[in-house]
Amino acid sequence: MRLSSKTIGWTIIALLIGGHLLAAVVVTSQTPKRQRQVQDHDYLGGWDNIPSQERLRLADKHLKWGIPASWNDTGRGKTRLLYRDYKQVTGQDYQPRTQEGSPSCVGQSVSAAIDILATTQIMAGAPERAPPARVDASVVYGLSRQEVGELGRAGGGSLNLWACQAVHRYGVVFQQDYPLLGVDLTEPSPKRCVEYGMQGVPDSLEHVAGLHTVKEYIFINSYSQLRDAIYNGCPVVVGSKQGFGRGKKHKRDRDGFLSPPRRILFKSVWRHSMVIIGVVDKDREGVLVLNSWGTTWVKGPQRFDDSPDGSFFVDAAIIDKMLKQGDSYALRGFTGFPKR
Amino acid sequence: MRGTLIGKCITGLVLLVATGVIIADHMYANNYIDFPNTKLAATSEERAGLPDFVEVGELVRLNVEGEQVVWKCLPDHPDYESYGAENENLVISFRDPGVYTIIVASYLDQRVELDTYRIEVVGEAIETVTKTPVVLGELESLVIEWCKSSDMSPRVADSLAEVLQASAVENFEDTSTLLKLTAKRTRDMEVEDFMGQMTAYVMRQEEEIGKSLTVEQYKDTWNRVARGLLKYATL
Repeated sequence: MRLSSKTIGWTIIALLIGGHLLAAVVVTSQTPKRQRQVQDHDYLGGWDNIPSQERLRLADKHLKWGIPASWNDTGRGKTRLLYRDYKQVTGQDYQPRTQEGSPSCVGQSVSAAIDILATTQIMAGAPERAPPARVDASVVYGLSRQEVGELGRAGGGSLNLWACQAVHRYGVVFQQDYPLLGVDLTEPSPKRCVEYGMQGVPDSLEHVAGLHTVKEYIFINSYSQLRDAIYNGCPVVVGSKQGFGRGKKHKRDRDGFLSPPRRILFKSVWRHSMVIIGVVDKDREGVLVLNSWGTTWVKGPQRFDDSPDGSFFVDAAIIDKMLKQGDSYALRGFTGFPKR
Repeated sequence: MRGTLIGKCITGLVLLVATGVIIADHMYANNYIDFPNTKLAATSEERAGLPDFVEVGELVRLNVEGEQVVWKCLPDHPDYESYGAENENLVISFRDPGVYTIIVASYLDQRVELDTYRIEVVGEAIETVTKTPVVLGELESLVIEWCKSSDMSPRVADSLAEVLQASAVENFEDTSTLLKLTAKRTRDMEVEDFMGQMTAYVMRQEEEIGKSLTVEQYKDTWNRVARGLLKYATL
């Protein structure tokens, strides 16, 4: 039997529709698997899912500091890698944090930003010495959720805005023993993050935290603002839903960049906060992002051989989209430890 | 015949999709960019004039041009302050005679400029002044304020004073044991807020004098806090 051209046409259309339906079924069936995969690998975020407009409203309401005029365009065409200041001051490479099973990315990223900030301002001439230890993330996370966000025991996660307000109002404590208070924060602990996140931080620590506050948190919502902030020694925390890589495969390209998935089938969503500690505003423009998932979650070459493990470059256009989600801040002016 | 046609259609579609994937991958492929290292430049000509030697305690001002200026004094010296939009100004004075080297780094014309200044300091050394701890009256007043802000009952204040006095008379070899024992004794008293303020006070005091308190200094502080607590309890 000979088939008419009409029949052939309808067959092709039916096949196309069938193909699309099949793809939709595959995507839907894969979604729970991807979520499980993320949890299996402790790739948890914890950045809250408040609608963008609400975040912008919150930012507008609380923002006290604008971009300093002296920053304008200072970073254009420049390279600045803040982790090198940390190495210079402490003599050690900056090791990425590990949030493990806790949704404390906001606490981790803001704490890492302050670790770096403390050293960049020393390199800029502040009469201070390096802090005795790294900033404790569980206290930042707990203060952001309970004292600022007033979340009670609800859920997990926080906002960068709340964490920035927390370190500005209450300050930070360090990963060390506080024997008089009966609190030993020497070892970072995801369990303590969850505990402080749910129940709040002990009152005693709040007073001690007051000795070391961050003076300013500056709202950043474009790549150029970010570039100038980094160039002027201020790390930036960025909160967004932007994901990178495909499932478990996180491999930097030969330039050291990690990119979002290329196709709809591999859509990746991270409700996550990370800290930006470097910028290169020439050739392939991008920023260096430091994650809080330890050292081994991402592989592939680094743009600079001395970059911290667990960090990756992100293209300027991608980071600009992330900043537009409205919860990114540059930290400036940490009250550190005076020189002895 | 039908089978042949359907087969051709499917083959065509597969080829179409495969071509699309290859084209997309090619479009998204990143080009390798060789990134040049920052160049270190020779000594800048933009240096300010400097006298051959200065007196101990004399104020020296330095200025350079450039962006993101970083100053460093060798040997390390605490009495300096840099200021300006780019940290381009430095004010420094010296407590001890000797020869000092000041190194300054800055970006200028997209290059890193390094400059060094040799300064000879003459004269007698200035004795370093150690800040004295706050006097008893001030700490007593602070303790009363802490009690009020913690909403502490007179009974608890009395008990806490007892604990601190007991810790102050015991023999300790190191401060850590004293602090841990005090914390253990106060654990069930619900005085977290007060202890936090006390800890912050001690830490601030240590920052001011530039070193950790000794066991005896801690005991002295405990006694003074206890006296403040007893005063609050009788108000």
